[in-house]
Amino acid sequence: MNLIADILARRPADAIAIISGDRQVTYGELRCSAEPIARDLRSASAHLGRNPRVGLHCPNGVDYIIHSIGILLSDACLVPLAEELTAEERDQIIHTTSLDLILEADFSPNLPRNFEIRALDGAPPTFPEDQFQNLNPAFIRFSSGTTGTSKGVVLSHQTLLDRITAANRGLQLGPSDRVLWMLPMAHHFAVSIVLYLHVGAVTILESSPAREDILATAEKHAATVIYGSPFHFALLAADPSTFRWPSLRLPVATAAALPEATAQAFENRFGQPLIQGLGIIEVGLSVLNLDAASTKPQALGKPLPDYLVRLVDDSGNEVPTGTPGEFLVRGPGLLDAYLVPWHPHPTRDGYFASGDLVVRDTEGHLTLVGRKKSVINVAGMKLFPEEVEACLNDHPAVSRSLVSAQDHPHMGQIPVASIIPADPDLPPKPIELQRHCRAHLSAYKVPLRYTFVAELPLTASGKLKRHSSPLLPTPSPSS
Amino acid sequence: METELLEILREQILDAEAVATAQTDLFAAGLDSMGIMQLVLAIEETFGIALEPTDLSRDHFRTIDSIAALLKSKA
Repeated sequence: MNLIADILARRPADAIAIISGDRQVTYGELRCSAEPIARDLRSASAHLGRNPRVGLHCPNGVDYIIHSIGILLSDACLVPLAEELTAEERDQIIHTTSLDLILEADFSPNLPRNFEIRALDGAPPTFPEDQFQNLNPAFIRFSSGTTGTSKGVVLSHQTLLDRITAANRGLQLGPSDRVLWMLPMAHHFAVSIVLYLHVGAVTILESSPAREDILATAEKHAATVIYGSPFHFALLAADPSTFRWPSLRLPVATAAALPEATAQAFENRFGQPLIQGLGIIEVGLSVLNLDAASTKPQALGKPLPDYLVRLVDDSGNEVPTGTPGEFLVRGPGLLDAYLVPWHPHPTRDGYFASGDLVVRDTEGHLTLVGRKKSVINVAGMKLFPEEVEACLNDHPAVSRSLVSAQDHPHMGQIPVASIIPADPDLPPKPIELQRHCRAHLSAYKVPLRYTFVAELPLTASGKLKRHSSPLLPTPSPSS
Repeated sequence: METELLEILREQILDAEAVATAQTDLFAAGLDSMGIMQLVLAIEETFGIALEPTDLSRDHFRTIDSIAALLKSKA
């Protein structure tokens, strides 16, 4: 089964799929642009005798969608190489996924071809190639991850179809919807834009970060749905114009915990409650606040019809109402495997354990209250403190470091570092450590504050002691 | 202040060559929403001025000069 081939076969060729600025792209044009890419990828990988893994390096925009469709249409497995990655981080993904090809997109419109395929002499994979191929893999996704270190999440064509079908039982998107899109595609393409294409909703791309431009586009195209992080919604809610956005029916806040003030400001400004959802790479969209967005804006809501949720304590027993427990979810379209270390179907009794700490109130609404694992969420971009610490520890003036989250009113959290200097009398300058991190890590991972300490809290076995990171104060069961 | 902003933008957020002067159009130079977030955090750290969502308009963030004017009005 090839999900993208099915979509292109099903949708009318003259129906509009994407709008970006003055450019309108139909499904037929998507197919015409993507087919040559698929053909080139097939001939570039013919010698392998199997479907290749293809890294995509491309800026956000229509071309990102066309190139992704080309890769998926060729039966290759798509590995997004996000733009913010440093060369080092990119090489790490290339190595871990044993990438065969890289599709580099060029922005220059005057070239005869706006892409280039580069072959890599891939080292043999550390995962079993046959088992991987048997999954019919469509995507490998890294970065945010929910399990301590980034392992690479493998999603098959069937898994994508299952999870977009389940998500749409809540979102109810159809051909009359126009979705305003502002998020980085390398992080979100799989279950969002593929879903819109599948149901025939028009995706409207807005590349400008300025709220004046976003709202002008919303008005011009009568957008009905918007996906964004709480930061985007805080920006939009502060707009001083008189535009009320009457066509809007579904504003979905995702990627980071929604502050109550942002939710209220948005509802006051546009007369629509912001709906929070819980999207997890390993799972898809399983919880959406459809029925209580106005009264409980901080809630994730209830599980969508196809999902079962359990909240459990450390011994695996269900916690009572009002007590936080780890979020376990069962339903269609859970991940097919972790790539490295190879782990097919990493579930327990069919449930995936996400590492999120969630509380259920007496009416059955779920609210995210923290993380069991050590992920730091900077306005929706997630990072592992272990990775940043390893980078800091490589600096000659650092003996040991601890990276933790500090709450921020608009960004959710920001990374800060505590450092034991190699020489206590001569600690390094913060700007020096910042430059060092920036050379090796994506910008959002670089700690903004550095404190020099004599010791760090350790466990009995000498590991760093981390606190589970609270996102928001635990709501009382009655709230 | 303008010099410090120029340094922040060149070193941390945009390509150094893209930000020629304090009058360069930052959106044309590639400032995106991730970049605005980085800039807001760096401004908080460097100048101790917390920006609110209302401050983040296109006009305020168009150039280094306009950001500096905004910060001076809040300081």
